[in-house]
Amino acid sequence: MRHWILAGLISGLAFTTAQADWTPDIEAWNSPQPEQPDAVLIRNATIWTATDKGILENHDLLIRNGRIDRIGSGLSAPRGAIEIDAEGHHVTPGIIDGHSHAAILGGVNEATRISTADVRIRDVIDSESINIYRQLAGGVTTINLLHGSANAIGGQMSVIKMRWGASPAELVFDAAPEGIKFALGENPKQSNWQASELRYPQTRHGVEQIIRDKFQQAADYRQAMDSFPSGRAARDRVPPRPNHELEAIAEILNSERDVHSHAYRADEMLALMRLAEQFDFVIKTFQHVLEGYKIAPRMAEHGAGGSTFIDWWAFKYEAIDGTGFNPALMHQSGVLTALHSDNPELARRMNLEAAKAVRYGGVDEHDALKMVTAWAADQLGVGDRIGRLAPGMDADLVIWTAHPLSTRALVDQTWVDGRRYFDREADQRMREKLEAERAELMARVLDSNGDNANGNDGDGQDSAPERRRVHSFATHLTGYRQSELDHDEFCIFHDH
Amino acid sequence: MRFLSVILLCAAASVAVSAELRQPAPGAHALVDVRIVLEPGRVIESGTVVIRDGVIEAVGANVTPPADARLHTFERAEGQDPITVFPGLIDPYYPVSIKKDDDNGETPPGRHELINPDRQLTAGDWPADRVAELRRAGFTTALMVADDGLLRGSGMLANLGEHGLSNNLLNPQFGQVASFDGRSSNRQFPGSLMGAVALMRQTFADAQWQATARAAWQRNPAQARPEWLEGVDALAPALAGQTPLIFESQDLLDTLRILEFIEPGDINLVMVGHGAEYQRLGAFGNRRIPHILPLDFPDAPDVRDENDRNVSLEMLRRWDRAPNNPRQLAEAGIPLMFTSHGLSSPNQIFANLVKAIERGLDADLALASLTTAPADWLGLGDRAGRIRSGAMANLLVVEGDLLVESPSISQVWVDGKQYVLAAIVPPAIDPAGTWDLVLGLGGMGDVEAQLVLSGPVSRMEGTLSVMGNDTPLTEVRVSGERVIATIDASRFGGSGTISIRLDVEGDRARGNGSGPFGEFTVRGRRSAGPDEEESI
Repeated sequence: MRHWILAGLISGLAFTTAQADWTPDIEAWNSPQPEQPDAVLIRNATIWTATDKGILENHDLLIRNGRIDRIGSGLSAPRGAIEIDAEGHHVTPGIIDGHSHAAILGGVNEATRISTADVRIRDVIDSESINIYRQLAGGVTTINLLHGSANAIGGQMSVIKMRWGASPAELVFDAAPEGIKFALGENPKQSNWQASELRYPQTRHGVEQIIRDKFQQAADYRQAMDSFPSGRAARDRVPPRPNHELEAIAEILNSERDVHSHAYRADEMLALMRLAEQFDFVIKTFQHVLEGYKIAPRMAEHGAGGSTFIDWWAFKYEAIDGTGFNPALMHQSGVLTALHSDNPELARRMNLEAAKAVRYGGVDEHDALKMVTAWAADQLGVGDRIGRLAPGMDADLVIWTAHPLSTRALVDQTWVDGRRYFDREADQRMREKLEAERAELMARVLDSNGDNANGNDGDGQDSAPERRRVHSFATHLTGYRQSELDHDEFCIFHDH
Repeated sequence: MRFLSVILLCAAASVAVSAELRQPAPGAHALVDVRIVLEPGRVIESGTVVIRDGVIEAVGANVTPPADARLHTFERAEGQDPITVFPGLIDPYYPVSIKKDDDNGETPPGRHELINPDRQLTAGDWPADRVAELRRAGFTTALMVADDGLLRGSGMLANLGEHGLSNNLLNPQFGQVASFDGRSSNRQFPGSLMGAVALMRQTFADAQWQATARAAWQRNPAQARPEWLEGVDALAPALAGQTPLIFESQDLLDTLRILEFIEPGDINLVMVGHGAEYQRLGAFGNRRIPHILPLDFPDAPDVRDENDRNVSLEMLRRWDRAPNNPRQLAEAGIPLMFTSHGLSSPNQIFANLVKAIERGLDADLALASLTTAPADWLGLGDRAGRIRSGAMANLLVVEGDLLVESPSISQVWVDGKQYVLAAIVPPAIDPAGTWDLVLGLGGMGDVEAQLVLSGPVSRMEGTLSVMGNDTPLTEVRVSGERVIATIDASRFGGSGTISIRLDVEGDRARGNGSGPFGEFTVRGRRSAGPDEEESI
């Protein structure tokens, strides 16, 4: 991996001068929080509830103080309510992406150890990432920020709401249960790493064994902690040394922390489920899970969800048995099924990923939408707060200009917590304001360039954090800071 | 000790030799008839400062110099700026690279290469060249800190005189320095930012555990002995708030991360800022975390050519707003100190201070942030940062004002020892005219330049032409037979200022210069007098 990163840095340098200035005009820190109106009434929409109420045509949806209050027809607007005529428009729950690295700083992988349960994505959330705004424009309202897949036991995940402009702490969706990334297969066993960087284990059964070892250590650790006396009896006893890694793993064993495990192949997923059953807990989801269709009944029996790509496969050997029918087949076998992006660009078009589940395997349209809303929420343990349009749920929703599974559908508005974070029309107006701001600042810079007496401009600090395009094979990734690209370097070279 | 006395003898001898014969006491000096800024906002328009044995003995408008003091008087011509004495500046965060004994050595069990709270700077780490550079910029005291790792050890507080640490040490242990900007070598943990945070969190827990575990085992040794983590005990004073935890922040999100990591409580948190605090000032809430701020404002992008205007709005905003940062932090109630850290040369701090003051930062507060504020924070409130009797004789003698783009600091006094930067001498020559110069840039070869000087000797102006590029001089001064000129370096694609010193003898001149690119030599001759300017 090292020489790849080096190559990345070198090509990065080459790009720096040419592309360093390509950055988005909007920035999170000076984007004010949209107001939360007391009441919002969306009228005459086709409402995809993602509940057993189905798709309701010509219905109204009332938001009060950030929550959905009522859904019905002919609802009357409370005094002072904002009214939106959504005739001809579709309203769906906000899209939930259960596998994202889109707003993580300083490396997506702590790839130095086989288990890094002590590292927390929570510490490195990038509230300033343009991905947040871009994905809002694609209807995404919640994402699960996951550690990378370099380690059998990765870091602690963080579920965030796309509250563009908020600080990292404010982005965190505090209703979400704790979770952790696991990984099986080629990445943790270092199939595609440099030979000079060998690390135990190097095989799939070694991966299973190290996870088993860590579980046992964590169980022992928890027991030592629990049996340590308290109060006066503890005074002259040496307490066990705190260990944040084993602490987090012990939470898994106590079902206080959900496991979301990267996996492609059926055999190793079976092995992890067996291991979890021996330790008496349930694997919450398998991520990517390309061979899920082979073992779907077993997954359903265990209670593991499957969060998958719909049509990414064969990008490496262990991904060779993928099929677009996988979501449909898992769903038919009773697996809680969702679709994820694992990619900041794909994340903006998750409605079309859902549409593909209709195309491959004939999933019902409403169920297909649930794969990026309700069921994704259930996999993250927040199905009672988001992912569905029903009274009491958070007002996280999208107004589409057309049928949401259509390639012609555009996001007209995206609401999070009853706040309008994206509005196509407001976005257009904002562009004019930004042009004016640029003109004003440019005039001031020109003035300073011409100011001979006082032309000294300090001491050479770069005006902006370095941003650049990523390598030629991914030139569509523009406007990212270097820190945001660390992931892509790993991910692209390691095929996720 | 013997070594020290030899040094002291030498120092004393050199003062004695250079002093005039009537001076009986080598350690006694009086700066007479000078303007004195006692501290920000307190000025004596004409007074005397008496120094004895490195300490200020007396200061005031009506102080009579003692008979045994060497008198320092300054001749001023009509209309010239007054000579003003300021307290020496204090840099509260001065990172120093530590020499590692065994770079190839394995880290022993119980240690981590990035966790060194027990580290102290030693005499061998003394950065003599950089100390001289700091001193030339008017700094007389600094808190030196190690520049690598996550927990970097305690700072070392010292004056910035000559003769190394032994002659300058004030406090060998002040504060504990931390940063999340550390990654292990050789692919060891941590290799990412989140790993660095996790390691810091584990270390804090370990430090607390070790204190309890060791104590319990000492009371009751008849049980398994706890493993011993070397170094973490040194974290205890910072965790208990007995000494500040000085956390260097890399950027805006790092600041938010640190605020969250160090919850309000016992720890006495002081942050080294990054300059973009204004972006999320609300993050501080009512936590008035003192800040040590660098002043490296972004350069203006050069957009004179229309093809160069593809500059991001983000960059324009940062250029526009960064100079507001100190004022905005002050308005938010954040206690401020300034550091030269982050500048290519410490004397570049003044131009940015001027800019911050133009953007509304109170000038007294700006001076306080370099004098009284760091002095008080460092526990030197009665000994540094102010001119008062009993304080260390750390002083600046300045022609005119200090808080200008390129102040004329003529003398720096450290512990009562005088360092002359530029002798204050009335002009003895008239250098007006056109000078053909050769700038010797060392390995880069020679460059021809033309310097045109005009106007009366006390108020000269001029331009420097290099490779067809005419650049106005920011300032020209004539002192004795020397011409001192400063130029805005951004004209040459650099930043800060370039200064040139020329010793003139008739129509010949030679000297040297320095700028952001390094030092260079200058030599040349006058090719035309002032009245022949048109013929060029």
